[in-house]
Amino acid sequence: MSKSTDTVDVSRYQALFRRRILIVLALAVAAGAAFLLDLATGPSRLGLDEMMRGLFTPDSVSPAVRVILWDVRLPYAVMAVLVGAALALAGTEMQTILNNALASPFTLGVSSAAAFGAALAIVLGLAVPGVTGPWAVSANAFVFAFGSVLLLQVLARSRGAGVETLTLFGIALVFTFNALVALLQFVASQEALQQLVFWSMGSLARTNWSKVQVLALILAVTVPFSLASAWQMTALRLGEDRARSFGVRLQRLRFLSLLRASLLAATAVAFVGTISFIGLVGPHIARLLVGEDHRFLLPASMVCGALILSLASVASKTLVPDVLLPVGVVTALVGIPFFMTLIFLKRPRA
Amino acid sequence: MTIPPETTLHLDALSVGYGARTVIDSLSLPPFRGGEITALIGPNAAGKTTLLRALAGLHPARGALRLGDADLLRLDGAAHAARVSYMPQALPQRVALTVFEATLSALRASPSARPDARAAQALVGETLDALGIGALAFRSLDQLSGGQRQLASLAQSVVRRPSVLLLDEPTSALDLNYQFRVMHLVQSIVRARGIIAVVVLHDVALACRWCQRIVILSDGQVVADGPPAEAITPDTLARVYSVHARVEACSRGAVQVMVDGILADGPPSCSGDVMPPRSS
Repeated sequence: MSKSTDTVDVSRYQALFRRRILIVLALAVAAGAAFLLDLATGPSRLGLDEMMRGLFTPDSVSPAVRVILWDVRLPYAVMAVLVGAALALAGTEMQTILNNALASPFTLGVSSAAAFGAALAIVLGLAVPGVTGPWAVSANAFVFAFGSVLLLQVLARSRGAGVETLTLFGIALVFTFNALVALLQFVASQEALQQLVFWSMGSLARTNWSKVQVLALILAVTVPFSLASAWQMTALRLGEDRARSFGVRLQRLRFLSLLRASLLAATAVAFVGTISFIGLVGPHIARLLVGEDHRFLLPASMVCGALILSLASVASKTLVPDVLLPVGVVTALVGIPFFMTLIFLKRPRA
Repeated sequence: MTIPPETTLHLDALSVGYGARTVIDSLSLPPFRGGEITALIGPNAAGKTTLLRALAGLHPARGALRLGDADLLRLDGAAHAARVSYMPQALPQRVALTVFEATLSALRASPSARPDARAAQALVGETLDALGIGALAFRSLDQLSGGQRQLASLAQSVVRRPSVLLLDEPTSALDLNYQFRVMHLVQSIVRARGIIAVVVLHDVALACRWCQRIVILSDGQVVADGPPAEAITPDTLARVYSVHARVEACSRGAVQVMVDGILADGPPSCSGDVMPPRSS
């Protein structure tokens, strides 16, 4: 038998390992720069210099600047980073667990369910018992978004439900909740309709520090578990039977992964509304850059999500002078050119 | 893990099914031995893959399945995976992992006896070298040909040093060169490490060429079990595949099968010359 004389140089793998770490770090630096740009951008025309001074020496700036920085720009900018990271992480886990490149919080019905929950609060005034005021819409959105993924979980754990069934069920949820939202829009008052349409466009303008803290906490709790599952998720890319034959407890992995994804997506959507693009394309951009070793893919996806949403936030403030566009509207406009460029730059696959 | 040669895989009264439908009913076989390749052959829907998946712990089964002193049906997934490696027929599509990364994940994803990072990388390098695919180590899986992907898949199976190697149609869709390469590598590894190997094959000639034992299944039942020369006879081929076939020894002594026609309710359906088996 002819046998190749090439032997494996393990140091090449270590070089590849280092290169991927560098890519993730470079993305993080880019996301950091986008965050600063987001912080320096706004209708009040306050620049980065003033923002930095307000950040590190608050007494050196006027009270008005402090209010703009600490109550508006900083929570918005931090929220953009957190929401981008949360949606992209949720999307990556869903795409891997369901073995479906089109899986995302949006395509599996999480966003539609959240929109229905929000619509119930906005149009009919129905809210989760004990929750009132500005939290009512978010709480409703969260309950429905989380509930929709729990429904997916029930299906996932039922006998014989494969990933195709799960995906089809998710798509069915999208159409069902979209129809219910349309029904509520039909009976809504003019004012409620306007509010609902604006909510569904996705906006960072409803951010406050409490919401930032909640989402940061959920990310802090879920990310370590995601990273701890990185090898199992990498193995799952080789096929379900393959992963199980390696000893991966597939049902448990799928349950916990979908639970994390649902928590992240439901919280993000509940706070800022529907932002459909990040959870789908953030993971794809990261995959193009670092491959599918999930030790790199998961953090790279989060950083890509944060980068895209920060840039989208900048665009939402600058595209139309003196108008703050809903960030959900411009996210795709910012992300698609980046995504398409990467696709064309990458060499075609066999 | 290299198992002592006296270790055997015992299968007794094993039943496997899907819901209410029983595919394998109370199947018992003489033990599978280390260093031997056993071919599972039979027509479509005979229960070959179902049996293999049950041996791999991927499908629930009843009865007795013991590897040495270990009761495989009672072991959890990780402990089972530490002993038994399964190579599925279907290879994943569009996976952005290099051959090296995919093989490494076979070691690192397993919760049992996970080697440290450096040791795992060294083991992956050794395995790819041993399989002669070192040159492919840093190529992406989705850039490989079917045969190269099959070898990469074999690497993922053997890198974990299993006691039992289960291969589901490892040569399907491969050209003659890669069929030979894959089976030759399997034979080398099985002999060198004393592994128990069970391989589902459709190609009877390949089974005769590479396997020391052939188990013929039909409707979940054993039709024949033994060395190729005993298991593969015109009679068993007629019963299992409904073909009229000659079984002859080639100049090197290996069993050769030539199909002359299809049996329909007994007589051959084609009118070609039907030769009786030549005595060797």
